[in-house]
Amino acid sequence: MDNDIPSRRALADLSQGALAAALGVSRQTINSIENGRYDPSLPLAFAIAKYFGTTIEEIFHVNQDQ
Amino acid sequence: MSIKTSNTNARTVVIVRSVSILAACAAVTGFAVITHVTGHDDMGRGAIVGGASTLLAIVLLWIFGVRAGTAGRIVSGEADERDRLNATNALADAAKGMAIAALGGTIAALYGLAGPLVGGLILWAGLLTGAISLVIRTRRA
Repeated sequence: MDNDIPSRRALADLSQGALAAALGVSRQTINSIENGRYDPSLPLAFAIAKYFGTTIEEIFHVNQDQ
Repeated sequence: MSIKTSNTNARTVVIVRSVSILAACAAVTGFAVITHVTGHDDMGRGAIVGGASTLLAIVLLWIFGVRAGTAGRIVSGEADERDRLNATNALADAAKGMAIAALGGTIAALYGLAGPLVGGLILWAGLLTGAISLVIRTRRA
């Protein structure tokens, strides 16, 4: 699963740690999501989308290669 | 819709930590009583010293807020969903390791290996398999 979290985070001038603290998860979890090593649960995906003021579909994209 | 992503709110953390400490104390005490009743006092003393030292170390880590890795977050009740998934999978791997060790231990016992050694072998197999699995899974996911 690809995602736009790094670019949205950069636009908001937000560190991984700050985003993690806002969402109540560890920095390592944010790092794993950004690098595609971990797919978040639906509640966490909703929380991420809500944080950036958008929808899940706008942030997460199915990787056609997988 | 209410969105809950982790159990990191302060009240939950305090409850989880308190229950964890009480459960650990009960487990150590129970083990010490069993070893005393069965006449293995040295083993019971070892469990009490080891258990008390470990619990003290955990409480000190909580008090001083040392930055925790996956294992630290799991122990302190601050694990998020990824930590819990990795821990669950590591426990499943530990169970598989213990099952294989139990099979090997049973065969070894038939050839005369002492019962306590077989028990120790199974426990260590579970501990090592779980620890190694947690490290690998944490790095991969």
